[in-house]
Amino acid sequence: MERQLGFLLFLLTLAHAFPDSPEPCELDEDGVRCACNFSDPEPNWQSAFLCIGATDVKFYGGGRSLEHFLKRVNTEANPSKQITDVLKSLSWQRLTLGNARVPALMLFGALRLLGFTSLKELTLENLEVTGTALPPLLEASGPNLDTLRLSNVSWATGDAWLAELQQWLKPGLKVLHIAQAHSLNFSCEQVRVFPALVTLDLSDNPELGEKGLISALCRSKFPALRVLALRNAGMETPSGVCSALAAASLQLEQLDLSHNSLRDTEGAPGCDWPSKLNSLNLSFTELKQVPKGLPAKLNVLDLSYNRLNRQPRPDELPKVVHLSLTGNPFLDSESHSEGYSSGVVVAPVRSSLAVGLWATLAVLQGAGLFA
Amino acid sequence: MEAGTGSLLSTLLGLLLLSTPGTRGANPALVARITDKGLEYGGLGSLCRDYRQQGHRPLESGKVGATGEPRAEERRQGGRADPIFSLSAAAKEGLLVLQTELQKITLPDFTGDFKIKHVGHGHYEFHSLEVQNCELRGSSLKPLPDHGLSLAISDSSIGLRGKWKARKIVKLQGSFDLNVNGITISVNLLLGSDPSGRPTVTASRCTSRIYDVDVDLSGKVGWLLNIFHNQIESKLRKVLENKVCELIQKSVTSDLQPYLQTLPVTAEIDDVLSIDYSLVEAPRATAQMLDVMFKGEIFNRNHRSPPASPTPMMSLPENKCKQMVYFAISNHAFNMASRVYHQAGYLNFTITDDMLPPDSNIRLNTKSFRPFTPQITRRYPNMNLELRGAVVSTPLLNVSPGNLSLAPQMEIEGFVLLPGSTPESVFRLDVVANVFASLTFNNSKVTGMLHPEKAQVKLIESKVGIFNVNLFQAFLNYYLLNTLYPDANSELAKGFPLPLPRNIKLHDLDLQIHKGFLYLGANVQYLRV
Repeated sequence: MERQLGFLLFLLTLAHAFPDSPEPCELDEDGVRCACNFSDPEPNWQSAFLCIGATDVKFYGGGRSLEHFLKRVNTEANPSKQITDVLKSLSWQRLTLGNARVPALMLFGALRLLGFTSLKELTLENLEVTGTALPPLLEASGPNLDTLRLSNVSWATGDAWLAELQQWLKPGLKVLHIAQAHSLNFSCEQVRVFPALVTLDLSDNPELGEKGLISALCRSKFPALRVLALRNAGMETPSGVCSALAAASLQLEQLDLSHNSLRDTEGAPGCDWPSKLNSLNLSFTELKQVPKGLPAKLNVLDLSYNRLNRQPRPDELPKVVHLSLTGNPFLDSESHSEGYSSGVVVAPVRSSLAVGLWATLAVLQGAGLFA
Repeated sequence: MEAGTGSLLSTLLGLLLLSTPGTRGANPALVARITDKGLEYGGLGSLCRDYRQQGHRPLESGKVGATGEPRAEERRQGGRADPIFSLSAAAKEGLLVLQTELQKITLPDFTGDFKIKHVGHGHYEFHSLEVQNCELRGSSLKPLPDHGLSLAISDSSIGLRGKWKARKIVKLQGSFDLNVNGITISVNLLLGSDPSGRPTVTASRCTSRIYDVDVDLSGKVGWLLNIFHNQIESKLRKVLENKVCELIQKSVTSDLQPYLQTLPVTAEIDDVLSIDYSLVEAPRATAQMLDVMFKGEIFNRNHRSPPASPTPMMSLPENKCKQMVYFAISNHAFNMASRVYHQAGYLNFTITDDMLPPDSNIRLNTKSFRPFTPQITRRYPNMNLELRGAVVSTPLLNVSPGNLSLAPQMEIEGFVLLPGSTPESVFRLDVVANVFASLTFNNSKVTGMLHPEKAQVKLIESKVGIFNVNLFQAFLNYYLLNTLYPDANSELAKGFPLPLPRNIKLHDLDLQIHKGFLYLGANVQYLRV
């Protein structure tokens, strides 16, 4: 009897842990966030209707190819007025599309439809874009995005992908992230100006390197750029980065070079950093000493979590208002009380499933059923 | 004499007078205006010649061919191209009928005495008279101010054949031919309506004149009687003059009036609506036109109740009357129809889950409704929904120069279908739609089409939390524009029949939109059955 009760309790816990129906889409209580994962072999696509009223929407294709849908959908035709009216009424703000193999025609067709919505942020993850598409009949038929994020997106058009994609983007783009890119070797003549782009994030492109950076930062195509992030981007020396910036004549204000394996080159030719640069992040870069050739004056300089083995001398450092040296070895030896401010690593919270299981097992053990 | 002569005047007037008792002193919702152009005979020419040319067989023993009138194709083949195959053709038809009727007439026998000087008195008798042929020319039908219509025929002729007998002095008999020339008939038709609302037609004045009678007697000693042909001719002339008017009076009272009484008064428009065409007053004639005022009341044919408001007056334009006939339809007529539909519940609708395609994964239930009401599943996890729409008040047609518009206001209420219990209301929405309508004409029907604008949705109340009104509005408009309005338009394409007799067709239609009514002008074609 007790054994049966325990087993029943165990089953009940399991039942709570897994969703009772394999619906690909889920909408939160307030109808704000919606996520769909079409990972089943024959998913219920219409379940996506659930996300029509949400604000943050994510669609994942389960790694499948969407090419066979191309036959069913006419991507060239202009949407009817009623469809565009429905699109205009959508309150989608942030959209993520990922995990699929999608024809370029379909992707750009989707961008054209999204052009009727008030979408602000678009994220493309783990997509393989196949084939090419004709440029849009009307310039900039896509959504008026503030932020565009691309992560592990491969394009059939190779190096020309940015120029092709740009035809569909409206000029108001402010933030561009490109991570795990297959190619950042842009053909700069084809790339158009990004008149409003303030932040460019090329982090997580370990193959980029300083040479790659030069070909990525098309000269005078980023007139408004203020923030450049190059975390884990294969950068080698701060001065090398400085030359790349100078070649592109960028008026940067913030530069993030953290998580690169930087080394200091002795005797490197001096480089003029952008005059307005006021924030430089060199944390987690395995620097053993403060590199030479840094800008003379900075508002923020982050040298935390490096391998500095001694306190830098004032003449080694630029004039800095906020200097961070946390997590460097020299601090360990000097003082134990300093430097442990932020950065408490919290172990990832295990899923509620596991918690439930453990709790139940503990209860049952306590009840003596599992001797 | 039956339907023949009856159909003469009824085809002329049938367009005008279809009625049953109507209310007195009310305004009409439908007015038919016949202009003098419509009444004109115009280019009639020689009907009888026409008629003979068609190879109509001569009369035998007083009988006429089956219809007594040449068939339409025969007439067309005759090569006479009437520029406007018009209401005057109806008049033509009428005259043809009159002709044949005349031919059917059993003319009374003429008897008389004659005196031969120094010989004595004798007795003559003309009998078995039959009309051989006739020509009716110079005809006109005009409105007669404050009276009705005036019908005139001039310069016509008729040919008779018969037998004669003479007695006492000589006992002789033979046959004769008689030609009557220069016949002129003038009849005034007084149009009115009796206290019960029926139209009345009376021939108030009839004059006829015959210019010349020509007799030719044959048979033994016919030559003798030809001596007396002057006397015979003048007597015949007088007799015939009286006979014509007598004939017309009789036709009006014993054929036309009763026929008009039997014409239908109400017409059924569809499953719900019927229209009452009774007269509200006597037809009004002016020098150029005749106006007939119909009640035009639209009612629920299953359950008639008096209209909610009286019909406002229509001020018809005094224009140049370029066309033959004009119809003025008050927007009140449409509003009565709208009220009937509304009260009969036809303007309500319900949308349930089983109306969605069976293979659709999106159903009309609380789960699928979450995009509009995300919190609905807190209280109603997975139940079917029902949407009930009702029009709040009768949509009224606004007729103003240049366009017709409607602004129906609806309320949509959402119900959760609880298992084993009455449906529970969970939200109410207010929907206003602006619709513009256009009218077209197709084979004597008025057909309409709706050009919808977008509906505006507002939330009245929600018992289940947030309601995404904008999204619902977009989907509702999608449904309305893709499904509801096209369905309504295909219903409206079926048309609203105009009060026309069967054989009348309209051409050259011209629609004007005035304040409060539609004014439709047309030329008429009379179709032979």
